[in-house]
Amino acid sequence: MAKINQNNIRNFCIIAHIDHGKSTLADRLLEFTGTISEREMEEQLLDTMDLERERGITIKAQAVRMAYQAKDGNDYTLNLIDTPGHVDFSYEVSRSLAACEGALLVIDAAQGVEAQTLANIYIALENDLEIIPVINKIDLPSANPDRVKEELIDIGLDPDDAILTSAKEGIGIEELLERVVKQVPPPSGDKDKPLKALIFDSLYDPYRGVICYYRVIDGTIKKGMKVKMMATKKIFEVDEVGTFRPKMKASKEISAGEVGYMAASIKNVKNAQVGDTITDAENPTDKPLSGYQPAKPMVFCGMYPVDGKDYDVLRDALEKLQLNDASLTFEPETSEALGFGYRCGFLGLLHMEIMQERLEREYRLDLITTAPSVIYNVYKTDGEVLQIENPANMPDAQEIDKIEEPVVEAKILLPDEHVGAAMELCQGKRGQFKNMEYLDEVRVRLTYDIPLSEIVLDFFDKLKSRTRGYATFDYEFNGYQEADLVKLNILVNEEPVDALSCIVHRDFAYDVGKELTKKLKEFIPQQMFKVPIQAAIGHKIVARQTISARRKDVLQKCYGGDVSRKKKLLKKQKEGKKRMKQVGSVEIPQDAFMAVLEIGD
Amino acid sequence: MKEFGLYIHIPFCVSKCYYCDFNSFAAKESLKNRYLAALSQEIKLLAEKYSPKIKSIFIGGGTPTILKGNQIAKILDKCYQSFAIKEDIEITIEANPGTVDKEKLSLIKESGVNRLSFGIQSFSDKMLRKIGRIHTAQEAIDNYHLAREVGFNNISFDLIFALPDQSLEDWQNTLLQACKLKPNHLSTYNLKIEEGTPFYQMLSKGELIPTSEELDLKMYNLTKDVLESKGYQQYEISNFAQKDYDSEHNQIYWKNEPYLSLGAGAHFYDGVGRGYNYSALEEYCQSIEEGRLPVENYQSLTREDELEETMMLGLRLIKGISLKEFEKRFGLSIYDIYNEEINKFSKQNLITITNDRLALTWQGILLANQVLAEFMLT
Repeated sequence: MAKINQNNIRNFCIIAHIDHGKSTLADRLLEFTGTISEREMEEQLLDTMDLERERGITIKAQAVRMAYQAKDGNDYTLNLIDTPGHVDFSYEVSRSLAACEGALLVIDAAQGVEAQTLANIYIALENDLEIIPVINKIDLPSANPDRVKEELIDIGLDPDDAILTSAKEGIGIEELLERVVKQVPPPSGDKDKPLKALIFDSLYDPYRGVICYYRVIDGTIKKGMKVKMMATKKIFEVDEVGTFRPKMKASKEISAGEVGYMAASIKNVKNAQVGDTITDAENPTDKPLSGYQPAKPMVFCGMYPVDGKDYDVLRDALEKLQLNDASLTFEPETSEALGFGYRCGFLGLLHMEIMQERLEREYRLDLITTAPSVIYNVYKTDGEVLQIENPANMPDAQEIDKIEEPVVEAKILLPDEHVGAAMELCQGKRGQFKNMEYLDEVRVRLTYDIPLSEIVLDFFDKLKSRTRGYATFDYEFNGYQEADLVKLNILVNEEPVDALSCIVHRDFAYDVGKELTKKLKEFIPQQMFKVPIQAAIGHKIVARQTISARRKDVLQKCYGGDVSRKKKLLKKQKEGKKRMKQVGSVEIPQDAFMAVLEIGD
Repeated sequence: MKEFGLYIHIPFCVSKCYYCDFNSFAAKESLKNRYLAALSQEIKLLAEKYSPKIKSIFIGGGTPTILKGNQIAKILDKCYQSFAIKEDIEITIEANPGTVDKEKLSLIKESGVNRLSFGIQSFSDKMLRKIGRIHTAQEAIDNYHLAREVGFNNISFDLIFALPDQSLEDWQNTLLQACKLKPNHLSTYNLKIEEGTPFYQMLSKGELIPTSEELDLKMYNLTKDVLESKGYQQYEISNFAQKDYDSEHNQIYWKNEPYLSLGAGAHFYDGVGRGYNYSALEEYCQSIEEGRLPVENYQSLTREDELEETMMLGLRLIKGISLKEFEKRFGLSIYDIYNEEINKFSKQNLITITNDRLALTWQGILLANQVLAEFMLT
C-alpha cells in the first residue's frame, strides 16, 4: 500500500435532522467511490445494529475510509465518520466531530431548515468544522431548493455553496466528493511528534477485546508499540491497527491525520473510553486532548426478569453489554414486588430503552423495567447522608432532614411561535427560567434550570410534541438543589408495591397520585376479584381507583369442529399472562411499571 | 375399523346474517350442482383413504336446508353406499326457518335424518331483523310444528343472546317462548362479534354498542335458571338437553374423539392430526375434480397438542374429564402434568374433583377462558 500523503486526507462527518437522508447519502458515497459494490449494498450500511436500521437512528459511531481519485488527478483518502443523533449521546457526538475537519450539513429540500439543523450548525462551528451545505432529496415533487437556499442565508451560510443532491437517485454525488476534496482542509498535525490520538468510539469484540476507533492527531501508531490511555493511565500493547474499508482491514501503521482502529487486548471499554487520548507509553505527549468526560449514568431504573429463573441470564447479559458500553452501570437490588433484579444506570431515556430492547432481543429476556429515577441526596436527621437511586429505598419522612435533587441546565432551541408552549411545559416541570435570547429574527434559545427527575420522565418527547418537532434540546448537569420532595407509595389490592413508588414534589403529589392511579387502572386488566389502587404519602391515602372484578370470560360459540381457532384464542390469553408479574394476588403487566411516564399527556 | 363422526358442510345461504363469519355464500343453482357432485366424489375419496365406520353425522352450514329434499337425500345415500354406518346413528341437519316446508321436511326425514337443529336465534321479530335473519318468529314456530307433524322427535334450537340493544326481558321472552314449544335440546350462544362481519364494521364505526359484561352475565345466569326450571339439563357450556337428548355428534368434539369432514372449509381430526379443506368453492371443487382430497392444511398433533386439547375441550362438558380415561389415553395421571394448575384452581373454587372426574364449577364456567388458558402447555 502506498504511503498516504497527509495533504490528501479529508476527514468529515454528515450532520442532519432525522429523516433528512443522512444514511442514504452515506450509502451512495460508499457506492460511488467503489468502497462497496452494489451487490454488497444493504440500506443504511453504517447502521449495523438491527435496532438502528429499524428505528432509523444511529446509536454507535462508525467510520469508513474511501479512496477517491479527484478531477485534479490526485488520489484522496476520505474518512467519513457517522455520528449518533440523540441528546443522550451528545457527548459521543461532540467527540466524533472533534475527529473531523469538515461536515456535510444535509437539509431536506422539501422540509427545509429545521430547528435541529441550526443546532447542528452550532455543534459544527464549535468544533471549527468547514461546513458544506447539501440540499438533498431534490427528486421529491415537493422539493423547493430555492426556498431552502433563502433559508441558508437566514442562518448565515452562503447559498451558492450549497450542493443539490438526490441520494436516492444518485444525483450530485460526484460534485459532493469534489467539494469535500476542495473545501475540507487537510488535517494538520505532526507525524514526527509523540503519538496523540482521540478515541471517538470503542466497541467490544469477543475475540480481540476492545476495538478503539480513533483519529490520530500527531505521531504514528503501529503494531507492537506500547500505548497509554491518558485518562485511565492504563498501558496496552497494540496487537493490530488498521482502517475501515468498510470492514476492518489491518495495516502497518496509522499516522497523523488518519482515522483507524486498534486492538490491544483491552478487556473492557471502561479502559478505553470515548474522549480519552491514546499516547505512546514510552514517549508520551505532554498534554491530553481537551474535552474528555468519563461516562456517567444520569438515569436509573430497576430491571427484573419476569421469570425469576432468568436472573443469572440477566446478569450475564448486562456484563456483556457493559463490556461495550462504559456508561452502563448495574448492581443487584431486591424488590418485594418484583423479586431479584438489578438497578441499572444509563445516559438518558433513549439509552435506557435501547438497552432494554437489546436485552429482550439479543438475550431473549422478558423484563420488567421500573420507571426511571435519578440519584437523590438524602440528609437524615441523625446526620447520615444517603444517595438514593431507588425510590423504594427512601427512608421514612420523619427520619429525613432534607432532600436534594440533581438539576440540569436545559437549553432549548426553537422558533419563536412555539416559545409559549415550551415555557408552559418547563414551568409545569418545575423549571426555573434563566434566559431567553433571540439568535436571529425567529429563532430563540430558552435556558431553564430543571430537575433531572422531570427530564427523565419523557420531557423530550413532550417538548417535541408541543413544538411540532421544531425544538431541540440539550442539557448539562448543574449541581444539586434542595427540594420539598415526598415519596408517593402505590398500593395495589391494599398492598404497597415498592416498584411502583416514586418521588415527587409535594405540591404535585396529589395530582400525580390521582393520574397515576387512573393510568394504572387502564394498564392492569380486570382480575377475578375487585382490585383497589391507592396512592399514599406516608399512611395518608391521596387518591384511589377501583378495578372491578372480571365476572364472565367464556367462549360460548362452538365454531363447528374448528378447534384450532379456540385454541389460538386461549394461547393468546396465556401469552398475555406470561408477560405479567404476579404481585401478591394481582397480575400486573410489564408496562404498568412505566405508567408514570404516561401521565400528564 | 376405526370409528369417526362425520361433519358435512353446506356453504350456501339465502343471505348472510350480520354476525356470521362462517364459510357461506349466496349461490346459483349451477354452482350448487357442481358442489354436490364434488361432495359425492369427496365421500368416495374419503372412504378410500380411511375406510371409516361413521357413528354420527352432522350436516351444517351455511344453510343445509337451502338444498332441495332430494339433494340432501342423495348426499346421505352416497354416505350409506360408501361408509360403514353404525346402527341407530344420530344424523342431524341444521334447518333455518324460512327454508323448509312440509314436503322438504318429509323428504329429509325419509333420507334418514333423525335430528333437526333449528337456527331460531330469537323469538323477537325486532331482534331477528336487527341481525339480518330472513324469517319471523311466527315462521319459526310454524316450521317447528311442521317438523313435529312429519315425525321428527329430536329437535334442537339454536338461540343467541347478548344481541345489540337486547334487554334481559327480551331474552327471557325468547327463552320462555322456546320452552313453550318443548324442543328436546337447546344451544345458547352469546353474540361474539367477529372480524369481517357487518357487526364488526358497525362496532368499529361506533354504530353498535356491545353488550356489557354485566348484562351478558345476567343473561347467561338467566338461561341456566330458566332452562333448568323447565327440565333441561346443562351438559356443556352452551348446551342444554332433556334427559337422554345430549347431542352425540357434539360430544365427539368435546371428548376429543376423531371426526372426518366433507365440504368446503370443513375441519376434521382424524385421530392423528387436524386439518381443513379449501374454503373457496373453486379450489375445493377443482381439487376433487382432479381426484385429490381438497385438504388445504393438515398438521399432525404432538402429544402436547393432544393433551391441551383434551383439557380445553373436555372441561367444556359439565361433567368434565374422566381421570381414568385421561390416564388410559396418555399413560400418565392428570396430576403428573397439571398438578399446579389443578391445585390453584381448586383453591379458587373454579374447578372441582369428585370421584373420577375433574370439572369446572359454575364460577369456573363463567371464567372458563381464564382457566382453560392455563392448561395450554406452550
